[in-house]
Amino acid sequence: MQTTEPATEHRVDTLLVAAHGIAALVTLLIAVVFGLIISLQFFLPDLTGSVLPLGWGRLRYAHTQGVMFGWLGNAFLAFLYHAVPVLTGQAVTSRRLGLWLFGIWNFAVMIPGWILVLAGVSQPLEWAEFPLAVDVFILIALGLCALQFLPAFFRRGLETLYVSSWYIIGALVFTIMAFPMGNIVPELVPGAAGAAFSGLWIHDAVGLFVTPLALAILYFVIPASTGRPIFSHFLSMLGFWGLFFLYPLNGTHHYVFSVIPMAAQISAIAASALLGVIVVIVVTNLLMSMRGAGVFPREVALRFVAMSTIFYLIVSVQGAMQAQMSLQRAVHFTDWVVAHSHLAMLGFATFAAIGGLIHAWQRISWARYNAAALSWAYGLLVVGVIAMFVDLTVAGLVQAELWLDGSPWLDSVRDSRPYWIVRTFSGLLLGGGFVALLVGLTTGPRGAGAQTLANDRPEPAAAVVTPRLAPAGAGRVLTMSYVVAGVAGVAFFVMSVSLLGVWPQQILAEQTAAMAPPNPLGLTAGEERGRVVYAREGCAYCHTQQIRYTDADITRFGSPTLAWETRFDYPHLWGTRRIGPDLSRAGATRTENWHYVHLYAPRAVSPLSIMPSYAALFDGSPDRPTQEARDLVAYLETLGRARELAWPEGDANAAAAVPDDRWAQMAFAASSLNAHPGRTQPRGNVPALGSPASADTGMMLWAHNCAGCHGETGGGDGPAAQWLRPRPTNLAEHEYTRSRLADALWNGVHGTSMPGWRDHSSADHAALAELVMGFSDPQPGPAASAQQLSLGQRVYAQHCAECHGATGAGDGFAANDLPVPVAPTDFRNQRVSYAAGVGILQDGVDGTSMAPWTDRLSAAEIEAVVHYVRSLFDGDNL
Amino acid sequence: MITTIIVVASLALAGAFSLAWLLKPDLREQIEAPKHLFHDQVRQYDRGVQDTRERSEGAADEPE
Repeated sequence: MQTTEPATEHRVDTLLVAAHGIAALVTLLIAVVFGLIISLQFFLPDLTGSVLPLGWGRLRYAHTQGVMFGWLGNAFLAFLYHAVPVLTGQAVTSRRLGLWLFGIWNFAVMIPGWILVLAGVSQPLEWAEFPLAVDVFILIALGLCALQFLPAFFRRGLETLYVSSWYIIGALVFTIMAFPMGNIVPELVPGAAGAAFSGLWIHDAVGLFVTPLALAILYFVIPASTGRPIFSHFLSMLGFWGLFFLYPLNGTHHYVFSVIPMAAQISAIAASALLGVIVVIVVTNLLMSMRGAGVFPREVALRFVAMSTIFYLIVSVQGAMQAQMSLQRAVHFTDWVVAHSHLAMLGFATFAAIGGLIHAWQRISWARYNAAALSWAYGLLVVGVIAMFVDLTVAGLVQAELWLDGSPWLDSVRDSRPYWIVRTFSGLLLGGGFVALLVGLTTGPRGAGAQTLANDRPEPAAAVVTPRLAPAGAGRVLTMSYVVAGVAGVAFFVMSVSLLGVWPQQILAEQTAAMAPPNPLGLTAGEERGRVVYAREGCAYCHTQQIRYTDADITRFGSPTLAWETRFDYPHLWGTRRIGPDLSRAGATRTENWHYVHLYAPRAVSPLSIMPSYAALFDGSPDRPTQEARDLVAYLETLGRARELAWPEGDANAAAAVPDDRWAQMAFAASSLNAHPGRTQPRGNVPALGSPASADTGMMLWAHNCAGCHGETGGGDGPAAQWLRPRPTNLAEHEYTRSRLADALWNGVHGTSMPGWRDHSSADHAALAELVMGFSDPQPGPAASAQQLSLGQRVYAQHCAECHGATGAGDGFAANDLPVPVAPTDFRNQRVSYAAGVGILQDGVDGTSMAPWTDRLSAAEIEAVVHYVRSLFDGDNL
Repeated sequence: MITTIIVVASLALAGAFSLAWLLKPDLREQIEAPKHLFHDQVRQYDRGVQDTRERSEGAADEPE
């Protein structure tokens, strides 16, 4: 047929293909640099000092948004500018619109988004970290995408639309609908209900934006490269509708074992399993379409999409598996999930995007093309992705095992370190691959891509085959069925929002109304400001705030999170990964002073910690916190407060409100204490020390947990000691009974920075007790005369007994009303050296209620009372 | 209940689609037609690209 219209190749706007292609590669490299820095910070936590814009949390936000919108967004747009004219035989709407879209996507979304996130203006929501101001431009850009690409499709009949067209249409339509779910709704709907909406977007970002466009590329490039139509268009359409029906229903599988209604969770789990089946159909069709191309296709674009197909199969089957409760119980929040997301975004989606980009690039007559560099890119990226996936998957299993068996939290950090180092090396391979990709598409002779094509497929293209079209009646049936399926697809999306978002919101609101105390305590202005700092620095990306309804979570972190506890959280801070422990019940677990030191110099108080330093929130010392640091610590102290204030009457009322909810009852029956299990407790109720672990174990435990405060040899001179009030005890100057050491290790020392170490075994405690007793060398000083002891007893009874008790048991009548809540010493089970005792009476003990006594006692009286107090020590005869 | 609806609805749609494909040869052919149409479009496009390249190479080879 003769036509006056320009040939299809002239309808492809190669300028816009190239512009988005280059933007994709540049933003990819920037996002990868962010990723490499944060991966290094896992084992070099002080790498960027305390420069807040280079802090782990902010870079993590910038990394994921950069990969999704900068890299994949631009790469997909580049592909669309090539694919839509080929698929429809028509040009996109207009170049002017394209230039606007390019400008908005990169100069109103990517660059401002990154700048704002690094400057501390962000949302603490997974895959939605750019702030609301940027979200508005993303929505505008998505609208422009629809305007630019969709009209060309609708000028043709539905029955002639190829599967790639369907995926493109689906992605453009559904992304606009799904985007507000995770980016805007959680700002308006609190806590648990907001998390339910957030979960929708976490999955829809991948399922309705990334996956459809990646699959559009696979279905486009494979037949174009093999020179054969795909195996089955029927199977491809079955897969298309299956994916669009089921993907939106997956969202809540990110919050399994949470307070979100179990029916919604089970629905998401079932949809995830069904999705796995659909993906097998899709991949089978794709692999059948590539039959004969070989395991290692000659054409580089096909090589990338073939690998993308394999990655898609693995990541989807893995996703369907890990949504199941038995596996989710173990691997959720671990690096297993990080492996999964990297395989999805850097394996499946990125390989597809590269395949599409190379395919389009090869057909730009003026574009440079370097085939050797692209082969290098392929090799480096395949090795890098596989290494990262395997490494993080194994790391996730290691973490899961340690978390399930109740090992101390920092054991999982310590044992993850080798895997994190390997992850960085795999990231370097990926970075190298991406540099090679940039070289491949920006160097080499102009038009060499087309030459490569001719070389790879030397046989001339066969004559155009007229498609075998069925009678018009069948076309109408098909069109009608597609319309029905389209309506059903939208209905499924609406159902997903209703079932996994709106309905849980109503149930959770009812639960909150039934369970919440009459006037639950909200946040003060300062605490609210602290919450903003917590969100801004990405704390929620290492510390979850959702204790799940699992035994492992309850044992380690306390009672599961109830909906009403999150009623003031706009947006929620539930998090999706635990590198540090959950903080839902962290309030009052540590002293304010400890928090300041921990924020300023984390490894001073916790040598194994990999938390970034937030010294920038201080004026040169933990003693001088800025208002932001004060606000942040004030916020941390609120975590779990509302639930604790409601206990026990509040819990009893709440339990009565849901008598038949088996899951909800776990929140009340599991623990008699709603606070963090590691919180300091009053003395007593201590399990007996077991047989000590080896001396080497004791030394290791000491180095990892105690030396930061007490010093390597127990001298009370660790790196953190200078800032802690009261200072850590100089153990060489004290003598303890085993029972006292067991008590301190189990219960902590209330009012000081010494926490309870109840996540360690009694054998560990015994080993530490042995070690501390070995440090002990309290010098008795000059021998005490009977006269001195008598004087000391009188002075003690007159001045000391009101706090320390008549028998020295630390149980005087004033003991419970001291201005500083550090219990008076029980002299029966610990004894200080003579010299240190005199020093304490002369100088007092900073950070406790023990004041200097030199204004009331003479030197002789001080010496006498020290002798008397030392005589109260009863060894282990108690 | 809701889970059952999802599973049944998904299987019913897939079943109906498959049944139509099995029972309606015309429809089957119609469903598969877009892949042939697309294949032709791609080949046509690639041939255009090759022609353009050869023309430009030919022009470059011509003596001035």
